[in-house]
Amino acid sequence: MAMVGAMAKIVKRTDDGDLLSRARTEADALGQLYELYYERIFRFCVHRLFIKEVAEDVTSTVFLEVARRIRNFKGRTEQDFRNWLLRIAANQANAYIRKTSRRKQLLAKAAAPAVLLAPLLLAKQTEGLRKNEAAGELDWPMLYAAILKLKPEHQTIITLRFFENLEFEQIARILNAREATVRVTLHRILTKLRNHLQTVSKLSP
Amino acid sequence: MFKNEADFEKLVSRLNIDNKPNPAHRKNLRRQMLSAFNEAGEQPIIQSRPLWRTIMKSPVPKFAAAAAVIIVIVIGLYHFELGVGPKLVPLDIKLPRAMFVGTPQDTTVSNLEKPLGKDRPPFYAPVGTKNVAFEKPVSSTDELPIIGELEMITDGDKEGADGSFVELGLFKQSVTIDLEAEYNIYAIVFWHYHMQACVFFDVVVQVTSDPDFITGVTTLFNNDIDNSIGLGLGKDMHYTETNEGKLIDARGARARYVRLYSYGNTSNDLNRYIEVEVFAKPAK
Repeated sequence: MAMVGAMAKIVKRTDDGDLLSRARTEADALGQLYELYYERIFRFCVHRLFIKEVAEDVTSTVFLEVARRIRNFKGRTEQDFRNWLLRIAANQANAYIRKTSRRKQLLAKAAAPAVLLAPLLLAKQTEGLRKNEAAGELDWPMLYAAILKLKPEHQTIITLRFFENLEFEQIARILNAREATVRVTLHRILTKLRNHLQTVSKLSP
Repeated sequence: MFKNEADFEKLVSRLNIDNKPNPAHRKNLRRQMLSAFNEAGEQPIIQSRPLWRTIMKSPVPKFAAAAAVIIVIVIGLYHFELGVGPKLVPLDIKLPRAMFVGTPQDTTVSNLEKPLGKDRPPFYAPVGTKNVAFEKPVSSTDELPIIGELEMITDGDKEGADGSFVELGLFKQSVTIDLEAEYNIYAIVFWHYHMQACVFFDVVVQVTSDPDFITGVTTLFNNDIDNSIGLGLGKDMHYTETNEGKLIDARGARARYVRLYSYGNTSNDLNRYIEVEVFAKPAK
């Protein structure tokens, strides 16, 4: 799977569950876990919430939640911890989108540059620049605007799969779902997303 | 436009996203997190080993317990045959307001039970049976609900309106109520969501006194027709959510923990719970 810049950096292994085990009682060990996972969680939040300041807020919520709950965390391995973190992050991001009225603001912010970009897209198409037609010309705000039209849970699947580059099996574990269900759901989500993008493309002047 | 997953993957890989973290935020958050960790550590953690688990670890008390259970059953049967069983009275179940609003969802679900077309008949239970789940602790496979708090499941608020329900994550989820003592459970009544006429899938209700749900588990209800939950095929019927909730006859099962599973509903893949009531008496 293609990696997305530094976002997809593979987190250094914590060398077993020892660090995790110590992190339940030792602040220093928890600090080390934090350093290992901060960037990953922050980037996940940026991809889910678009605005960096919002992503920082949600990242803070995630790690504060971890600090409060890690003593009772039952996972044993780094993989368990990472899944747990992503699960908290996914739930917090979804909660943010659902609970606040920021959704419309996010959409407006994301859509604005996309609208500006539309004439450029058309111009390039007219010039016969088919090389990266459509898909290649999409930028992040335009794609985010389309993703934001999906259900929050479906947005999570998209982010985990394409921005976090997780395997279906890992996504299934994080979402506590069957792998086959995630595969089928993703297929449907992509169809919806394509339709959204095609609609936007047609509506652009 | 992208044609398939691989295309979309390429598209994402070409995006230019500003996701560089702010070092100041990183530093501040680390400090806050460690401070929260230390504060949380100052609160004592009480972990007690349940007496039942201690008994079951050793063979002599285990057989003694089994013998005691058999004796109780024999005595119970003797009393019932003589017609000296406990006096039964209708359960007093307070129902929330009926409140279907909006367009009814598609509830063309297989194996769906037909509506009664009238109020549910009274359920009889021994005198003194009451809701013992009220304000009891609730845990879940989704510890961070999308909407609401887990405590809302036993807070006595059964209304269907926003603010009364907890929304758990996608697909298979469960909630577990710790009654904090063993009870003879006669009925469990629960409301998933009754603002719309929806049907929740793969509803399974189990009780046990084992906190790990490994031993002594009794399945009281199971309409998981394709074993999505993994607890076996269920033969119970699907039902439409209403303000009456779903009442399950627990037949006096002795247990401390009650667990309810579900796997999304006809409106979406999420799982909602408004309230769970467990009508029981302290175990004898």
